[in-house]
Amino acid sequence: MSKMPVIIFGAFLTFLFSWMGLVAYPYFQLGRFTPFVAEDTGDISPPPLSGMAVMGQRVYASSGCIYCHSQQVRQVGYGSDLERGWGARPTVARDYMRQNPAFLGTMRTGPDLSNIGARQPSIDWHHQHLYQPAVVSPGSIMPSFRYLYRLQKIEGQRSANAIDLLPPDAPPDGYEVVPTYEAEALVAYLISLNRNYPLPEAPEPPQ
Amino acid sequence: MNAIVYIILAAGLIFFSGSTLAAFYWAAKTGQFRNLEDGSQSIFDHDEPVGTATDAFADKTADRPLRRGATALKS
Amino acid sequence: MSATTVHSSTTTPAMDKAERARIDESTRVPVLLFFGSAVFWLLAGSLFALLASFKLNAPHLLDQWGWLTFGRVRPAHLNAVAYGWASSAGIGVALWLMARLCRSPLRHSKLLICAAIFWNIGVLVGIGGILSGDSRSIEWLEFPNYASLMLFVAFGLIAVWAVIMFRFRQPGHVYVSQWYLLAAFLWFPWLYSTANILLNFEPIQGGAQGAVNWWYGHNALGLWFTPIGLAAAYYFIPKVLGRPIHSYYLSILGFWSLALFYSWNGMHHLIGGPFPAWMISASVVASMMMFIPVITTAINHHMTVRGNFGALKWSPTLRFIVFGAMCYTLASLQGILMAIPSLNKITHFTHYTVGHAHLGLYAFFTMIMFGSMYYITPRVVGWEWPSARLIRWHFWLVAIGIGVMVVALTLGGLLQGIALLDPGITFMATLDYTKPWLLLRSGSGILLTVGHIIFAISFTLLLLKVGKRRAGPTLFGTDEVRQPESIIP
Repeated sequence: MSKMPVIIFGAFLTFLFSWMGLVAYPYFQLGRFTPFVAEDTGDISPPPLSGMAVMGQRVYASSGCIYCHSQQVRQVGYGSDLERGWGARPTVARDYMRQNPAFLGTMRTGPDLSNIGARQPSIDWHHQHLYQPAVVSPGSIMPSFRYLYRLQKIEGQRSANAIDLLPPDAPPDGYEVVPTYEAEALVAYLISLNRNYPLPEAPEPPQ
Repeated sequence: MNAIVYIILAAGLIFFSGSTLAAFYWAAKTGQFRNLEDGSQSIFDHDEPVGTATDAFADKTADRPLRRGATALKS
Repeated sequence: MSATTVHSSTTTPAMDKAERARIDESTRVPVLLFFGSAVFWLLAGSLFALLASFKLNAPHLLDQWGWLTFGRVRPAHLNAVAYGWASSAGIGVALWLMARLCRSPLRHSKLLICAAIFWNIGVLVGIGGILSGDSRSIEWLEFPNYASLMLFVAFGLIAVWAVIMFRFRQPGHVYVSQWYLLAAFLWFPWLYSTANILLNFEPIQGGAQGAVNWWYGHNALGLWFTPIGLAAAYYFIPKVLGRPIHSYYLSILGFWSLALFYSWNGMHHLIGGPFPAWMISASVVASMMMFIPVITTAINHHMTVRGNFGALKWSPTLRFIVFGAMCYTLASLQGILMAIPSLNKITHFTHYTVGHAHLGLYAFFTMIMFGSMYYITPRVVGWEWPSARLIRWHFWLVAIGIGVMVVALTLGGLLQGIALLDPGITFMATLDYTKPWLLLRSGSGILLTVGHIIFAISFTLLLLKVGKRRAGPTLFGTDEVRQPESIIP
């Protein structure tokens, strides 16, 4: 019976250590990054986001994209992320320093988005895909985000940012589909997702 | 703003560890770790003693007889 | 002073019965408030679940409305069942257990009534916030700050109540269930506030958020839900059978080894992710060490029931609780395996994880909550469950439902994971592997929802005191002791 107090004391200490190891330590080690500045070019990595992309992060959060998409390219030996072309190198903690919240994600009902801006650099593609994902990617079960767009009558000339859609979602004659500000912000954010900049702690793995 | 985070985290840590230590000390002092077999019986009383079941479906057959071969209740 | 005296030899059975009835009656308002809210959120959470599941089968479903997009309905489901159903039911069960184990009528019920109100407003406002686009998009912590604050206030009130209640309890032994409950009440506000401060109120940099997120997420399961579930199992299994716990020493050992190892597990959600290797390794090791509390508990429960599995035929409480306790072992062992990196490579990011989550939170925790509510509610209301048939339907619908769901998601997830590992298989092809299993999951969801509706009907009928009057609040059936089967001592 006298071992019991020892067990309890040990339990308490370990619980305390877990707090230090998984909460306090990460704050100090992974929560105070500054960006890396390349000596020769002056490039800042990770690059700061445009204002629209920052707003786009909020739309990403508000729409719950993390429940189908991850944003972490895993290391060599942990899955086929690199072989699938989801990134030139694994992602590291500093890559997330500008993200709030960090969109690591835990499901891959859809592909990893860490570098979607590099894979799909076209704004038009993103708008079309958000509106009609099953048409752009046959077999996809991604829902349509049509609620981020407006169907409106064309007045005079077609709007500059009206998007092209394939049937069956193409607007009827005289009408156009125009993204709301939220849709444009979201796409600006998606285009910004490109972590192929080099970081000293994350060298590109040999091919 | 960072200072507030540190203060709250430190305060939480002290409160949590302090209360755990206090709980453990109290338990050892009041003999919670002795005589554990009796402790396991503490949920029974004279009306619901060891050997008595305390739950059943309220079926149409409310007065079902004991099954064949069942032994009598222990007191 | 002995810590072991139970009831002095001066009390008679009649006195003990009256005392117990008095204690039960004192818990009525807070317990029924929490149980009532729990049933409401169970139904709401089930509807959100069905919607989310159907949307994965038919993505066009209701897609014109932003507030119902999958990315909002899915966290609405999680929060409704985790904070709405599971936590409310858990608190209700815990309150009743505390009163019984303190052997004292419930004091300061106004604190608890306040807590129940804050809790429900918080959950309602939080889910409304998620659906309208204010989700924080951090798993398990999606509630916007205006909602999580209310939950924290409610938690605080409950923790204060628990400490006061414990302080004024009858002297004597502190039963193992009370260790678990007090620990849960003290651990959880601390977990919740720390995580919310560091992620939602004064967010730390993105690179560190994952660690805090999953320190919280996993500890919410292991240091909030698990202790409440185990506290209930440790009380009801011996209480229903009339047999003390097989090895009381093992049960205390199980509690402290849970506290010892569980809290380091969090990083096993992030294996392969952008975190220092030592953090992840520590979590893997801690996950392996979980064998100790899990096997300890499994042995204890099994040896307590051993020889009396026939009791599952006539006790609704025992049926649900033994089912739940067995699934605790299953879910925990599965979780330990999932933390092994070579297996984690396959299961990470797949529906396998979702299946595991439901094995834990539903097949273990929710079933134990059902069993507990079946025992507690009649004793608190002073009326019996009106229909044994409804109880049986409830049990079989949800038992089969959760069984099918877990199997479907496990198999679908494994196929998905194996396919994902092969870069030669296109991403779209990995999706095709999952589709039939997601359809099966929707079917199982329908079974579960019907089971919940039946439970809600039962519960309502009981509250309304429908049916013919049966015996007093402490025994089912007649006043005589009934023993459909012998109890092997």
